[in-house]
Amino acid sequence: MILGLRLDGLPLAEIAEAAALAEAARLDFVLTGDPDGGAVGAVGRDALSIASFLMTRTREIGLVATVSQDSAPFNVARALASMDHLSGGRCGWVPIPGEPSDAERDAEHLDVVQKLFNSWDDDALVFDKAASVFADRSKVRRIRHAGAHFTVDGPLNAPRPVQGHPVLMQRAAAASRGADLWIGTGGDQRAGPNGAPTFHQITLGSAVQTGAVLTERFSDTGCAGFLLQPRTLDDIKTFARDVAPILQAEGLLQSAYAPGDFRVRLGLRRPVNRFSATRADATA
Amino acid sequence: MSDDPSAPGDLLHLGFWMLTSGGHIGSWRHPATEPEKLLGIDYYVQTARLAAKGKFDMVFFEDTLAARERTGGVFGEASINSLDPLVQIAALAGATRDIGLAASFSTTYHSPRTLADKFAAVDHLCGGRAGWNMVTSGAAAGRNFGSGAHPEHQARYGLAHEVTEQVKAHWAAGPASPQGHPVLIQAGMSPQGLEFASSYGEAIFAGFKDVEGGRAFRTNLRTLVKGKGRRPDAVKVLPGFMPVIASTAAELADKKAFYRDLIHPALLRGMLGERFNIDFTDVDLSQPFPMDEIRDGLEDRPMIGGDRALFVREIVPGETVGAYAERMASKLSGHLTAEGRPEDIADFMQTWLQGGGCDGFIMQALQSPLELELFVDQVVPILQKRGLHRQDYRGSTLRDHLGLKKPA
Repeated sequence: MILGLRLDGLPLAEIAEAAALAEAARLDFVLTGDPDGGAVGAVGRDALSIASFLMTRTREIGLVATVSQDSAPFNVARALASMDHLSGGRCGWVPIPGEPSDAERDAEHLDVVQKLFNSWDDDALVFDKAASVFADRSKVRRIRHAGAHFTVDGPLNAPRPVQGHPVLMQRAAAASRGADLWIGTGGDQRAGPNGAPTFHQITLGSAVQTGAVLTERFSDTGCAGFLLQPRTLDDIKTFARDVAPILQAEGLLQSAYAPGDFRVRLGLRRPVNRFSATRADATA
Repeated sequence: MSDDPSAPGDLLHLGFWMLTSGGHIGSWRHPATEPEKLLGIDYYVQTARLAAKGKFDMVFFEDTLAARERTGGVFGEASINSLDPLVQIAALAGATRDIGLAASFSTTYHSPRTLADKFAAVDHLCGGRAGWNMVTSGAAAGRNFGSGAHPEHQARYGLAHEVTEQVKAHWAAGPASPQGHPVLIQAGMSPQGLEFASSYGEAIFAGFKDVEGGRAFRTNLRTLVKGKGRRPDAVKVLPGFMPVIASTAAELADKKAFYRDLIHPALLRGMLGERFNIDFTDVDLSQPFPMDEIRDGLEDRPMIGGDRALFVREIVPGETVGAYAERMASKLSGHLTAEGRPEDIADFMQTWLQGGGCDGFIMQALQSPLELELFVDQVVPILQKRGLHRQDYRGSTLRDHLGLKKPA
């Protein structure tokens, strides 16, 4: 089962300890920001900065942040690509719809962000000191996007992310259909609109109660796993001490991180670079 | 502290300018550089810790909102240097304790809300060590942000005033960090820039030819600052600076030749292409500059972080492409340079400080970490012995390091 931990309800001063506990318990990821797009305190408003901070306080765990689609797609793509490179492929994100809500605009926003990720081929970085070729300029291109809401030339000024694209998580209610993982609102969804696996959100309670709910719901619904919501730091300590070892003994939770980036560990496929694919077709 | 706008400072303030492999354009080809590590956070953590060992006030990351290009493609001969600076300083907040963490971020293409939120988050995460270099973006970035015409210089500074006021209002509405709010840094020496700097700036990045030029600028700025009801020492002037450290004249000559040779002919031709927007790949270097062609293409492709008209003015009439390229390659950077033994470097810095030409420097290293390490190990102890640089941090915030008051 895939387990993530929400950090948005905790004070900023407890975030680093919470993430370290989650990593010690071998959870798959921590999430900064409210995936439901709810109001947050003034200091914690930029979830990506908080996730970036956790990059140097943890070594292995996935770092997922909410990102507002009110920011320009170029800024969003660049921040996420930077985060993914700097963290060695541990980045994930949950797009939060812009205001006022406009499903068509948000879908175009996501499309532009992903095009920008693909503006560099995976093998564009050459590092050939002798010939002075840092990047092969034939493998970096403009995206020339001109849509109803955004006009973006590109290319991005950062190479393609380590994971191809950072892991994309969306609420099951979101309009767009490209998510790697869906965040359910409860209920018993097994898969999201595009067939991708779904999480259920669970508020952490007593250890006994939490452990039972997780194992039962996991086998009953066939969901991919859970997004755990702690009420306090103590909830995380209790989970790490009392619940995680049981889940590990039952083979439901990893007891060590497997090699590879966040996407690989989650068993997700690497996104194809449409631009590269086109180039390969053209030369075939 | 003297109220006299021309009074020199007594302690150096030092920022280290983080530029991937170094400030020299050929530094990524240096044998000690591991280019594959320039995208990972560990490299920046090590560099920031080295700067903290030298008791620098801050490390600083610049920002660009478009890829470096030459003639219709990326400038692939040079190393990329454009990861998101806010992601970088937020990550360093978790891995450093004392040193200030500053970054440029554009008022042109980030909303006041986003700017305020991001810097407030970092400032709280690092305990009050954040600094924001308020920059406006050039036209090259405009192509990545909608299709509207790019705002002209005057309009951009007008917009910057408005944005800065809004950012400060957002900060004032939220909880204060240990230093109140992030230190406001500004670069630019135009009249509009100066007006903006005197209103908001707390640290100013600038470029001067000599101490006299620095003194004139600093005195003028501090007079303007005083005129706005602020204390003259509420703003620190930090010119760009790159030392070339060597223990003997022979070693210095070798080092300069070595760095000059790192500028591969393809890299040199790429630099020419980036500057003038024509493809120099097959241009005969013994020919005079193709001035007409250069002038025709000047406005088509705005460049990142440079003034194309200035580059054109630097061409000596009648000079060959090769002669210009040679002059360009032997210039180590566009900033102040001091060469020689560690004592000579310290003398240079002391002369500037005590001559009232600056309050310190925003320093680049030819190659990181090698040349930063040399500075920290060999120049910093001399500055400390002369009482010009702190032995250790006395406060915990960037405002403490820079000797700035907490905002009311």
